[in-house]
Amino acid sequence: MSSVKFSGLNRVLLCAAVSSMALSGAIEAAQAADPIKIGVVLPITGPASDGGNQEKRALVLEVEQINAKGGIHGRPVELLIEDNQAKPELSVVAFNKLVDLEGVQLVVSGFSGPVLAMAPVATRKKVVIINGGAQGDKLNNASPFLFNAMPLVQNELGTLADFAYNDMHVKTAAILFQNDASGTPARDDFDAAFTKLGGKIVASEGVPFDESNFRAPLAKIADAKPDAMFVMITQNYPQLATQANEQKLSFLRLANTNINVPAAITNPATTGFYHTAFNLDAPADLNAAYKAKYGFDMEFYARQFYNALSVALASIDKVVADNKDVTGQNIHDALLEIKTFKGLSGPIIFNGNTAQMGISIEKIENGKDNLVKVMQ
Amino acid sequence: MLALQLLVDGIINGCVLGTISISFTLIYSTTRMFHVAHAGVFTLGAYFVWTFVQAGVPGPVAVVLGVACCMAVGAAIQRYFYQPLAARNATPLVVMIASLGLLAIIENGIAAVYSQNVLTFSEWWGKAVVPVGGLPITGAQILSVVMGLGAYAFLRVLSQRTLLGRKIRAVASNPFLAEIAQVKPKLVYIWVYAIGSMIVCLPSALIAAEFGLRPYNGLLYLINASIAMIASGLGSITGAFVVSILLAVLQNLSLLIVPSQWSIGVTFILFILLMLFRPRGLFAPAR
Repeated sequence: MSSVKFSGLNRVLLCAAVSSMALSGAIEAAQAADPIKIGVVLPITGPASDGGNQEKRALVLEVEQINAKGGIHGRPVELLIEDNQAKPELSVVAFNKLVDLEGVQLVVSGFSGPVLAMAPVATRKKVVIINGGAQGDKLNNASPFLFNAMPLVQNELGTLADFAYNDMHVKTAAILFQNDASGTPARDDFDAAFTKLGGKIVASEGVPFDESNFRAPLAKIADAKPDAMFVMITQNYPQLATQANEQKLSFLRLANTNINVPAAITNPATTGFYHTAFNLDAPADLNAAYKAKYGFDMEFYARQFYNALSVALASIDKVVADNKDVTGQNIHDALLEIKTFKGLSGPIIFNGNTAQMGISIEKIENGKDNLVKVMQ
Repeated sequence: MLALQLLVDGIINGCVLGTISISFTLIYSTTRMFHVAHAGVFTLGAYFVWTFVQAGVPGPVAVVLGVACCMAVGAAIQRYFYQPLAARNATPLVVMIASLGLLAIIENGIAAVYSQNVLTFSEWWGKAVVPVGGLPITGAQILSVVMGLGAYAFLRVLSQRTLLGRKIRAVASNPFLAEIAQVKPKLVYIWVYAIGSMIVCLPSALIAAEFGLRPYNGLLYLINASIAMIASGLGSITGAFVVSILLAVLQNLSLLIVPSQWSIGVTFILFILLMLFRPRGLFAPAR
């Protein structure tokens, strides 16, 4: 058996080659094990925590499911959850913490005020925000790095106004809105859509965020004698409905998807509310997994945020598959390249920064939502 | 009908605000301390009552226990927080900032123990609607008026007809002379804080029973209450109570002209106008 002899120079080159191979292997192995961090900024506590916790539950379940399947190309996904109490200023602090300290390149969030506050920072730092639930119209152009996984309020309220005017024969309406970034665009959108159809807005009353005493604005609205009242607040629907019932207000009550939280739906006071909802059902196996983990069916915002995270995970998957670094810019490019994502009840299509989905009308009765009509 | 309903709602809201305002006025006019942490005691009161109710204590007894707890907290704040500061000759500004810090500690403590979620009381008779003259009034709203008038009457009687009331007035007038006259100002201050804290527990529990408990809402109520106190002339219990009702009524009636979103601004506009035309307050004695 012949032996191979290396000269001094060849020995050095061989050692260097072996070392570099070992080093690259080690880096690859380290990268493969390196978790992909996804930031989450949601109201886990505070008046909006009912929705925030639904959203959190879905995100946790989805990450557990993907990690059980081996993660994204072998890399586990890690959720870093920050509580913003639905407050814009706390959201920016949380966003900076996630990006600057944890190196997060994608943040999942919701609520118009907080997302609008984080949007300019996301642009500056080139970090993607996937907005799972906020619908203020200004979100559409707030940042090239902001993607809204839910149609904005303009589309939704056009549909609600259409239902009220054409199906329920409502000719005059009053608006009770939250006087902030989420409520004022909704007021304007409903007003514009309803007026365009031929209806008339007879009263428009604003309340601050987290207001729970609605007696005076309700009295004013009652005095205007509308056929219907459209409500656009982000929480405290039970208190509002209770006070409306106290005053025996008999007109039709309309709301958008914000009312779609268990505390509002299951409260007897909200019976009779008609509201918009997106065509978004959980498949039986997913609902069963959710119920097994949390003890109840998957709520609306849980389904919506499951969808939103699916968009994020599919985009990151493409970045990793293309052997690119998981940066905000690359996730952004991948999302726009994929464009159509598989959602729970159909495709989620991004023709721009905002997704398109079907909308239906539900009526709250006996603590449950009942489908009235599929609109789009 | 709308004007009447807004007027009645304004009077009811004014009674709640007035109760907070007279408790704050009692403390300020006697001690000259801007006790910002009173907002924390206000919030704490509702949580005390809620805790007792959750433990199975009947509602009225829970309120009595909550009031007693607030008295103890108020007295402890004066004895162990403000008196050491006074002993070190802390300026009024330092005391106010320290009080603000204490408020933050109380509020964050509540949030840490009870969470920041909105907590609610279960069904009680106060939620029932009692039609009064065709207006839908709840039991809780009627109770608000009774509570407000009762608290006001209690403070008037305390101030005019009791030995402690005379001591309080003496200390408020001149603490140095009062000390010479064997009235112990430090002890009077503790009593004043205890009584003020006791009174503020009542509107706190009522508001919470109607609208839910939140750990960070106290300051908003205290700001409105202090506006009423300042507008009335800083030292008058009657003035603070009347101006509270006046402000709440005017704020409500302003909705006949402006949309609801401007109602908070209306309060401040009224306050500024009042201060421009009567800077010493409506109930301040003439010079």
